Order: sequence, then structure tokens, then C-alpha cells
Amino acid sequence: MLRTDDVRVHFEGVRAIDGVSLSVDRGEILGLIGPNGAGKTTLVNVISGIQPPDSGTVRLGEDDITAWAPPRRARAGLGRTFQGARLFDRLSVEENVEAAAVSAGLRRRAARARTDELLAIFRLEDVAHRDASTLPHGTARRLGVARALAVAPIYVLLDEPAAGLDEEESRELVALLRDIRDRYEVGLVVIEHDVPLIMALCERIHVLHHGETLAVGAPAAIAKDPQVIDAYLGEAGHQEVPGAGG
Amino acid sequence: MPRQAPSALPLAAIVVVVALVAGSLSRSSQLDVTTGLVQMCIVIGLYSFVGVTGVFSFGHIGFAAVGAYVAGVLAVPVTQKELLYAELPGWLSNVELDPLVAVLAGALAAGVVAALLAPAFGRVSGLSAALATFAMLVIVYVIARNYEPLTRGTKGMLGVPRETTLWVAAVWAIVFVVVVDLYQNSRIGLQLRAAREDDVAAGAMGARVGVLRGGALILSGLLVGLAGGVYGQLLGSFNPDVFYLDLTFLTLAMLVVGGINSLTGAVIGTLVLTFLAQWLRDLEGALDRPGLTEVCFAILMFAILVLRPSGITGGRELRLRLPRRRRRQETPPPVAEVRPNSRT
Repeated sequence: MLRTDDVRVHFEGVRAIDGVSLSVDRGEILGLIGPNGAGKTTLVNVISGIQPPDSGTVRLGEDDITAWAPPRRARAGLGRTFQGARLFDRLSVEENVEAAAVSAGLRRRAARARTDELLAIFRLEDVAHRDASTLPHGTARRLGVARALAVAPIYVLLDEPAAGLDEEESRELVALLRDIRDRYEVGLVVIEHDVPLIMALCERIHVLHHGETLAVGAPAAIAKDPQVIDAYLGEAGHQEVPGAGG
Repeated sequence: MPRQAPSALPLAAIVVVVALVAGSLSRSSQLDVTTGLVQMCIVIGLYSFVGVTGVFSFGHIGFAAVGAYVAGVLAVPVTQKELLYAELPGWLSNVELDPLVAVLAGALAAGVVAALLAPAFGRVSGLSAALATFAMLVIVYVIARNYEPLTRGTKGMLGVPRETTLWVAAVWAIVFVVVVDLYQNSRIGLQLRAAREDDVAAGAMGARVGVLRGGALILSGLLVGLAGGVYGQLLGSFNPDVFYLDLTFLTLAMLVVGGINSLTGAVIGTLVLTFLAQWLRDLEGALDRPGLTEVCFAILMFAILVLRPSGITGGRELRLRLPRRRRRQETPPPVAEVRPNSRT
């Protein structure tokens, strides 16, 4: 299990995260939602080690990893994507994935095998030798997820993987994320503003508001929670929630 | 899926062609090309740090100076040391190494200097790193000017065996091309190039960026130190000014003009500026305008930085498109097996 206990982060007096405890099991897809400024990305940064918390702990299995640097967390099985993709622009698509694999400690042969497999799963084989900077937005997003999986993770933190994708691409992404969850038995934490997508994809949803946990539960329950509707879902424009409950 | 072919082969072929053509030219032209090939080694060594890590350096010529002086003093014949280096410490005055061994010892010395700096360079980047490397260059220069028992100071080092011929330089250039191409495509090189693009993202993938950059500095120190020793054995005599600002500017210009982010850029940039320098020096003599070459290089570098920052090669590698045997499809090991410390 990956979990945070009572994590707090303050930025110059502003409470970005205020006592958030979150958990995700291996093989589970957890949605992390909330309005802008709710603290979602900060929490993901705390879990991946980029942002040290003021207090609280992060645990991976039995290990307290709160003081671990990001590379050690990645090597222990924690992968992530970034809001702005942050690809290795002047490296080829293939090198992006392989660089992540070897960075996480895979030997070259295993890294290459994993790279080939991920390029096939994410339909990136045709662009394998293109520089990442030349990819269309949707393809770049897929590459970001493939790169996160290259580190042979147990848990993957996905920061707005569907940002900028059209409806068709979003649908494909949902299928892809389910497939990789099943294939690799990874636990996924997905930050997303696309409410229909998150409701369709996730088994459980954790809602943040002003740095605090507002609600945690199944999508169907979250969709009906008056506090969540008031703080976030109402703001999302009364979007249709297909598959809520799954 | 076929991997991209390495670029060492076509680049080595270019070096061979250049050496073959130069072999049919006048002795002075041969010397110019030999100098160019030795400078190519320095530029490739510089690329192995600046190009691969993205951390800028104004100080790598300091490693060349260390390599040249150490290789030089170890290779000067004992009989000449009695005359020229009377103040050398006793044990050193009786040492006369084979020139090749001396060059390797010079490289090792430069590598040791780089290793002393490596922990600090793992922590800095950008302008801080550039200034820190420049400070290192100044320290080496000042020591070379003032530690006369070893360097003869401004009087310059004399009596260094002239072992660097056209083909010796060409062979070293090929060795540098092959070594650095292997390095940049190795596990470590791949991680460093990823960190060059985004060090936070690379760290989040597991790359220990500071440690890797420290290692890159040591390797580049070794390479540039080796090239410095070879350069010293081309010149036969040199003073500290040979390994200071002019050579720093020239080698950086070669790298920038060729393309700072590719090994091909280092090779092409060196060749272009070597031939341009020869032509400009002729023009300089004909017009009686001393300094014309340096001014033209500066203008060229400025123009490249403004108009085509990625240099002539655009950061691309020259590769042969050879069909490769399809690798045996293998199933990657399960997640728990490929990670050293698997956890659930």
C-alpha cells in the first residue's frame, strides 16, 4: 500500500496541504480531484519526493519514505507523470522511455525489452525515432505515461494525463490505463479535471478542497455528495458522469 | 525494433578521409590539419561534459593544461632536464617515460583534478557552473605561470618530444569519437542526456543526477587532459598562455558552431573552423590585418547563437541507416524481478 499520513505543506503561510491522509492499494485506481489550488499536485510532489512536507509521513509498503530523495523512490517502485508532460525533448521517443528504465536501475537488456513493450502498448512504435519535442499533444501525453511505466513501478502518479486530449483520445486513455493496471498490477493515482473520465476510470475517489480532504469514496457516492457538488462538481458544469459507480 | 545506428563509424570515416587528404598536402597544411585533429580531441572531450550534461564550462582547457604539463615533464629526456629543469624535484628529474605512457599519466592527473572538483559540480549548474569552471581555469593558469620548477613559468616548457604526427592525431581523434559515442549511448550517457533536458523529471525516474554529473566531469577531465598531453607533444614547447583564453574561446566556438548537443557537431565544428582559420590566416596576411581570424570567429559564433543556436548540425547525429537484425523479442522480467528492492 502507498499512503500518506497527516501530510502538511505550507508555502509562506499559505496552507497548500493541511493534514491529508491518502492511501492506494496495488492494482487500485484512485482518483484525486478538487478545484484549482486544492493541493493535488503538491500532494503528488510530496509523494514523489519533489516537495518535502512540513510534517506527516509517506509510506511505501512497510517503508517510511518521507526522507527519501526522488531517485530512491523511483527505484523503489514509484513512477509519475507531470502536469506539463516534461518530456526529454531532444531525445527520441524510444530514448525517453529507455532513459527512464535505466534510470530506475534496469539493466540495458531488460530496459530495451521493456521499452519495446511499452512502445507497442502505447502505439508509439511509428514515432520511436522522432524527437519528443516534435510530437503532437496527445502522443506526447501517451509518451509521458509510457515513460512513467518504464521505471517498473508498483504505483504511478498521473498528473492530469488527459489534459488537452479530445474526447476520442480521452476514451482511449481510459482503456489504456485500465489495461496497464491489469497488465502490470500497478496502483494508479490519477489527478484529473475531466470529471466524466475520472468517474469512469477510478474505483475510489479522494476529493481535496483548500488543502484538506473533503470526501473519499466510490465514484457514485462522490457524485452525490452535497459537499463535493457544492465545492467542485457544481463548478465542473454539471457534467454527465457515465459509468459512475464502477 | 531496430535501434538507431551509432554515429562513431561515419565520424571516424570523416577523420580518416581528412587525414588521407591532408597527407597529400604541404607540410605546413599537414601541421594545420594535425593541430585541428588534436583540437578535435579537446572539443570532443569538452562535448562529453557540456554537450552530454548541458552544464556549461569555461574551464576545461585547465584540464588540457594539466595533461600537457604532466605529460610533458614526464616525457622530457633526462639529459635535457639537467639543462632546462634544474630545479625539478630529484625523483622527477630522473624520470623519462615513453611519450604514450606520459600522455596517459597526464590524462590521469587531469582526471584526479576533475575528481577533486566533481562533488561540487554535482551540485551546481547554469551560470554558477560556468563561473566555477572558469575559476578552475584561472587557478591552473596562475600555477602554471608561477610554479617555475615544474613548468618553467612564462619561459615555457621546452624539450617535450614531438610525437604527435598527422596519423597519431587522427588515431586519437578516432579513439575519442568511439569512446564518447559509446559513452553517450551508454546507460549513464542516456541518463545524463535525459537530465540535460529536464533534471527534475530525470530525478523522478530514478537518475542520481548529481552523482552522474560528477562522473561526467571526471571522464571529460581525463579526455581533455589526454588531448592536452597530445597537444603538448605536437607543439614541443609551450607556455601557460597556450592553454588559456584563446584556446578556451576557440574550442567553445568549434563546439557551438558545430552544434553543442551532438558529437557530430563537435567533429564538424572543429573541421569547419580549422579550415576557415587556415583561409582567414592567409587573408589576414594578405590584408595585413592581425586579429582578423579571431574577430571573424567571434562574429560567426555570435551569428550561430542568434540564428541557429543548435549549430550547423542542429544537434543531430550523423548516422548510417544500416538495416539491423531484429532483436529477439523477449518478455521483460516481471516488475518484482527487475527492481533491486521490490516492495509491495
